[in-house]
Amino acid sequence: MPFDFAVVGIFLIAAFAIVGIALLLGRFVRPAKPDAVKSQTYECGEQPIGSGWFNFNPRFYQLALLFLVFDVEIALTWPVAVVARRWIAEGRGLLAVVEILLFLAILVVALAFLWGRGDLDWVRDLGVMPHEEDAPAADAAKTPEAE
Amino acid sequence: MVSAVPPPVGDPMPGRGTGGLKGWIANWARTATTVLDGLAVTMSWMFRRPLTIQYPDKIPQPVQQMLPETYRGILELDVRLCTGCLQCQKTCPIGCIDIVVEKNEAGGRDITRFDIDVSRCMYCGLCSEVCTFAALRHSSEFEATQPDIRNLNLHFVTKPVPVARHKPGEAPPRAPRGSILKDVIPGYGRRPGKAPDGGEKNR
Amino acid sequence: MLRDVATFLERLLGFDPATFDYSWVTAVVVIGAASLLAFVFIALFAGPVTWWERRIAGRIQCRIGPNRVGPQGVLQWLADGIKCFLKEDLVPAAADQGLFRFAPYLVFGGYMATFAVLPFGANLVAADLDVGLLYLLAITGLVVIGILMAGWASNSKWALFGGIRSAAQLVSYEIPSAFSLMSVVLAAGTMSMQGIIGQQGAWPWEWFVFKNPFLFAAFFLSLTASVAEGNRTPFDLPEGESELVAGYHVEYSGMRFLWFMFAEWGNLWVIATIATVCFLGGWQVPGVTPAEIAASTGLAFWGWQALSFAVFVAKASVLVAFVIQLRWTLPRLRVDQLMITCWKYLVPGALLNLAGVLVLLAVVPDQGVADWAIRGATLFLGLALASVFVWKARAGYLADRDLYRRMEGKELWYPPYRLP
Repeated sequence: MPFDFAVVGIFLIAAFAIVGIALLLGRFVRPAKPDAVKSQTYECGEQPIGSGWFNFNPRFYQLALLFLVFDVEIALTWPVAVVARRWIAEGRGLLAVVEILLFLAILVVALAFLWGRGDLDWVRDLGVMPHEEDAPAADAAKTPEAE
Repeated sequence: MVSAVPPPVGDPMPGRGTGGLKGWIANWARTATTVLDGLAVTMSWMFRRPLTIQYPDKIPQPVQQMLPETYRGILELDVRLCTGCLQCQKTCPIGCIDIVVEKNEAGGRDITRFDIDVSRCMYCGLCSEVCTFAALRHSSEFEATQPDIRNLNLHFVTKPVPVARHKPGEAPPRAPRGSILKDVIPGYGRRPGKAPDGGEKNR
Repeated sequence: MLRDVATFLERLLGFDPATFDYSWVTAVVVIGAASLLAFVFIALFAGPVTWWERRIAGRIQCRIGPNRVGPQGVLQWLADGIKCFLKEDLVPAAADQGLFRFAPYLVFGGYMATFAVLPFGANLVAADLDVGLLYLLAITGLVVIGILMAGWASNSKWALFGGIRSAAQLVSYEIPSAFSLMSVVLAAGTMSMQGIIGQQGAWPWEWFVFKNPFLFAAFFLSLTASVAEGNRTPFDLPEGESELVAGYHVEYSGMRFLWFMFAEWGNLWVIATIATVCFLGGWQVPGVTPAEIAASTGLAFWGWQALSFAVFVAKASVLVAFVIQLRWTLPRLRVDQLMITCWKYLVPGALLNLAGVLVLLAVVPDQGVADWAIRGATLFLGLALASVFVWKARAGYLADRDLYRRMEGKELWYPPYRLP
C-alpha cells in the first residue's frame, strides 16, 4: 500500500515537473516583450474600471455550505456501501438496507427543507424581508405626521 | 422528424409554480426524450454531404462561375455600350465613380476617363440599375486583394473612346461577365498584383 | 504491476533483494517512467481528440472541419500546440503574479494524478488503490482549487465570475456523481477500479449498466454529472464565450493557457474511463477471466494485455464520441438552470436511484433466476433505446434524401469514413 500511494505522489510531482519544464523550455523560444497595453486586464477592449477583486454574490457561500453537508454525507456513506454487499451475503441485508436508507432519509429531509425554503433557487424572490414586515404599517402611521 | 415538443412544465417547486411531483417526473421524461431526439438529428447529419466549398484550391470550377447571375461582385463597364450619360456617377451615394467626357475634334464626344474606386464601392447596385444600356454591370469577380489600395481604383478607359450611339437593336452584345475585368484589375490571375508605382506600399 | 517491474529491474541489475536497502530508488525510477508514459498517453489523446471533435462538429454542422495540416488534418493539434508554445506568456500587471503562475500546475496536476489509478488493461494500471473510486472523486478537488485560483488571481471580472461559477458547478455536480457511483460500489462491494471490473463480465449482460434498471439510470446520471464536472457543453457556462468571454482563463495566453486546455480535453478520457470501468465492464475480454490472464506468462501475458487494452480503448472511444456528439447537440444551460438541474433533479434522482439499487440488491439474490430476468429486461431496454435512436436518425436522413437529390442532383449519402 505505501508503494501505491508513492505512485500517486510521484504522479503528482511528475505532473508539476512536466508543466514547469515545458514553461521553462518555452522561455527560450517565445518572445517576451511586455508593455503597458498588453499587460492590461482584459475588459473587452475598454479601460478596466476598478479591481477585479470585489464582493460576489453570497449564494456561492450558501452553495458551498450545502455542498459540504452532502460531501460529509458521502464520505460517511461510502464505507457502508463497500461492506453492504458482504452484509447482505451474510444475511444481515435488512440491517444494511435500513441503515443506509435511514442515513439517506436524513439527507432527503434536509434537502426537502432547503427546497421548500427556496435555498435551491438561483434567482430568488426575496419578497418581504423579516425586518421590513412591519414597515408599511409604520410608514402609514408616520405619513400624516410628516405632512 | 423533430417531434412536437410539449411546452415546458413549470418549476416543480412544491407550493410555488405549477409543477409539483407530476411536473418533476414530466420534466425528467421530457429531458430523456428530447435529448434522444436531438442526438438522433445530429447523428443523421453525420451521414450527409457537407456543403463546404474548399476555396481556393480544392474546387471543381472557379467560384466565380458557381455564383448566381444576380451576385453583386466588382463593377464592370463595357465601354462600347457607354453613352457617357453620367447617370451612374450621379446616383452613386459614395461617389466612387469618376467619369470625364470631352468633345473631340470630329465634333463628337469622347470618354477620356471612367474610374471606379472599388475600395470605396459598397456594392449597392444603384449604378447598374440606372444604366439604361447595360454598360455598367456587376460581375461575379470578388477577389480584390492588392498590395496597394490605389490598385483598386480601376481605370476602364485608358485612351479616349467615343461615346456609344447605337440605333435600337444594333448595339453589339455585351461582353461576357468578367471578361473585361481581366485586363482592368492589375495583376489579374497572378496574385498578389504589383503596386502601380513598383512596390511602394500605401499604409 | 509497477512493483513487479521494479523487482525485475533490481534482479536485472544484480541486486540481491535480501540485502539491497535502496529499493525505493528503483521504485522511484520505475514510477517516474510510468508517469512519463502516462503523460505521453495524455498528450497523444488530448491532442488528436481536439481534431477528432472538430471533425465531428464539422460534419454535424454540414462543414468539413480541419483537413489541411497533415493527411486529413490529423496533425492540426500539433500545429496548435507548437503555436501556443511559441506565443508570448503574458501576465497582467494587476494580477497576483505568484498565484496566477501557479494555477495551471494545480489544474494539470489534479488531472494527471487521476491517471495513477485509471486502468488501461488487465494489468496495465499504475496503482490499484483499494479506495480507487473515492480517490478519483477526491483528487479532482485539486482542479477546483486551481480553477478558483486562476479566476481569483487574474484580477479580472470575467475570470472571477468564471472561476466561482466553475467552482460552484464542480462541487455541485460532485454530489450526483458520487451518489450514482456509490450505487456501483454497492453492487461491486469494492472501491478498487480493478475490483469493480472483476465483479463484471466481458459480455454486455454481465456489465453493471445492464444489471438492473436503476444501475442503467445511474450510468446516465453519472455520465451527465461527469460531463458537467468536465466543464463541457451543455454545462460549459464557466467559460461561456457569449457571456464571460472565456471564463477563468481569459487572462492566460500561450503555454500557460495550453495547460488548461490540456486538462480540459484530456478530461474526456477520464470521463470515458470512469464510465467504462464502472458500468461497461472495463477491459474484460470475452472468453477469458481475469484470473486466467493473471496466470498466463511470457508472450501470452503481453498478448492478453494488448488485447484488453484494445478492448478498453474501443469502449472508451465510443463514449468519447458520444460525449462529443452531446456537445454539438445540446445548447448551453443558463446558470440558474444549471443549479436547478443539479440540486432539484440530479441529486434527488441519484438518491432515489441509490435507494432502488440498494433494495434490489438486498431483495434479489445474486445470480438467481430473478437476477438474470432483471438483467435480460434491462438489456432489452438498452437495445430498445438504441433501436429507437437508430430508427429516428435513419428517419431524419430519409426525410431529406429525395429532396436533396432533386435539388442538388447529388446523393445525400456521405458517411463519416468518406473523407473529403
